[in-house]
Formats: sequence, C-alpha cells, structure tokens
Amino acid sequence: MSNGTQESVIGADVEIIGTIKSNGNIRLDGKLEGELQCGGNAILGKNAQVKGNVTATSVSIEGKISGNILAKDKIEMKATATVNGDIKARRLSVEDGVTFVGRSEVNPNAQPMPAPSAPQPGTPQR
Amino acid sequence: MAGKKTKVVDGFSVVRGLARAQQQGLVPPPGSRRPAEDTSARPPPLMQPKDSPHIVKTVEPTKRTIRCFQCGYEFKLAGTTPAIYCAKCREKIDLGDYVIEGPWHEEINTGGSVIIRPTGRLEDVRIRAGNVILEGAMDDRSAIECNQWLELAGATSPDPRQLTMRNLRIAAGCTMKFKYKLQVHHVELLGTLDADVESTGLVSIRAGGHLRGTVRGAHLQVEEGGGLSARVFIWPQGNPLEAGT
Repeated sequence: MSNGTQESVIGADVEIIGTIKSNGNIRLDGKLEGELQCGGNAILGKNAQVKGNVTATSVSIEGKISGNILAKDKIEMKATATVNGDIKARRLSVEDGVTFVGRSEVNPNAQPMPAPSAPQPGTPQR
Repeated sequence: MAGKKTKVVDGFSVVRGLARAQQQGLVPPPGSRRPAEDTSARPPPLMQPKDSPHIVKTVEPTKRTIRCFQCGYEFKLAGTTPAIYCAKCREKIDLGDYVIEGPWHEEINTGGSVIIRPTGRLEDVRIRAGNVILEGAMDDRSAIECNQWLELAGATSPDPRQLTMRNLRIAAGCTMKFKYKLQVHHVELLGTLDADVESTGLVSIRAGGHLRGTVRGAHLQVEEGGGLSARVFIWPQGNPLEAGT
C-alpha cells in the first residue's frame, strides 16, 4: 500500500487511548481506544483491536473493530476481520469468513463521497 | 465383446477395445510415432496430444442431487440419463432438459433443467425442476419450484410468492424485489436484489451486483464493484446472541 507517502506503524505491543490523526498511510497492529483519522490508507492488522470510529481514504481490516468506518474510496474486509459498526464507502470487498454486524452503505455506481475531514499535520498524534 | 451390443461404454471397455485394436494393427502401439502429415494448412493445436493411445486423464462425471417429486427422497446421480427411478418409491423421474420459447401450458416435473427464453411465457402451469432459468414471463397462476438453482434473468419480475427455490441467482441487469423474507441456501447476485435475505449458505455479491434491505447469515462475500446497502448480520460461527439465550 505504499504510494509514495510514508507509513506510520503502530506495533502489536502498543495500546493507545485517544485519537490518532495522520495525513499519510497508517498501519495499526496494536490496540486503539479512540478514533483513527487518516488522510491516506489505513491497515488494521490481524492483531489490531479498535474501539472507535475510523475515517480514511481506504481501510483494510484484518483485525477487530467496534465502531463506524467511513472510507472515501474503499473498505476491504479480509477473512479474519470482525466489524461491529456501520460502514460507508464507495467500494467494498469482503472475503468469506468475516464477522460483520452493522449497516452498510456501499454503492459503487453512486456519486463520489465527500472527502473525510482532513486531520491536522503531525503523525501520529495523541 | 464385438458380438455383444453394449449400451454403456465404460472406461474398462475403452481400454480393452484399444488393446484389441492394437493387436489387429489398427492403432499404433504405445510410444510409436505417427507418420508425418502436412499440418501447415491447419492451425496449431492448443494442447500437444501425446502419441500414446493410453488414456492419460479421466474425468469423473459431476454428481447432482435428484429429488423425487413423489416422496421427496433425495439422492445423488453421476452422469446423464433421460430418466431414473426413485431409489425409495420406484417412481419414474424425468431428467430431461426443457427449453420453452413460447406460451406453455403443460406441467413439467423434471430433475433436469428448464430454460424459459425471453419469448417464453408460462400460462397457468406449475414447473418443478432441478434448475430453472427464467428469462421470459409467467402469469399470476403459474408457479416455479426449483430443487437447486433458480436464475432470474428476465426483464419482468414475477411475484416472489410464485417462486420456490433452494439457491437463487439474479443475473446481471435484472432487478428483483422480494416483499417477504427470502429464506435460501446460497444467493449469488450479479443484478440487484431488494429483500430481507436469510441465508444458510453463502451470500455472494459479484461485481455489478447490489443488495438492498437486510442480510442475515453465516457467509458473505462481496467482490469489488459489488454494492451493499443493507443491515448486515454475518456470523460465521453462529449468532452469539442466540447462543447465549
């Protein structure tokens, strides 16, 4: 997912309580209790656990998330993903095996969605 | 073998026949090269056939589930045959395939497939079949009962109460609205489905497909380009709320 911008990585042994804001790409393998606002692509690894809303250009989920997901472009749920919350995106890809309880609003033929609110510079923040 | 009339040619008969043909010199022995022939006039073959007359690959015929219309007994059948007798009640089951291209009034009970072409129209008739592809129309008094797959591919959308199916496929460009809860095993969407879907198998939304309403089940798959505007309850390990009560 490297598209020229730097990727911020939060390791599996990290727990964060608060809001993470990033303009670039971010990979989360640890725990987050709070919001994740990302101007680029967000990857939630297999060990990732998020309790809060996620906003990004595109979101790839392999771990667990309890919260709403808003993606400007695409949401990708891998087979190991567990999502409890509503999702909204322009494109969606779901692999067999996911656990997903929530409301989905994905219509590839609809007009492009407004961009998610751009976070303040400085990555990541608490 | 030569004096006998055989209706079924099995693999063993083929091998024995080849061996006999080799003995008579009709077929070159294994490993021998064929005489050179002018192949410039014809296009090159896709696969390089081996010179050996041995069977290098065999394909097991696909098995399909047949359901007796009389007693409801289900059994597997490999290969093709025009009809078969139920293993339980000995009722004869037609396994023929039908293509309907005009007005149709006769009842059909078949374990095979029925295709209703865009020009076809069911009029006051019941169709019971293994698989049905509905491209045409059906009036209010007709019904379709499908043991396996029902594919809706037409421009007209029939009343869902006239349709009984195990698996449902909505073809590309087709839009179907189910007012009542839709209970099926597998659902495959290449078109649009507006329904409250309860699935025991896989709900698959292909590129270009769209599901609106509610979806409950164990397995969901969405291809990129597929749409999902629905309340979703997907638990591969079963509903934890139901398990707790």
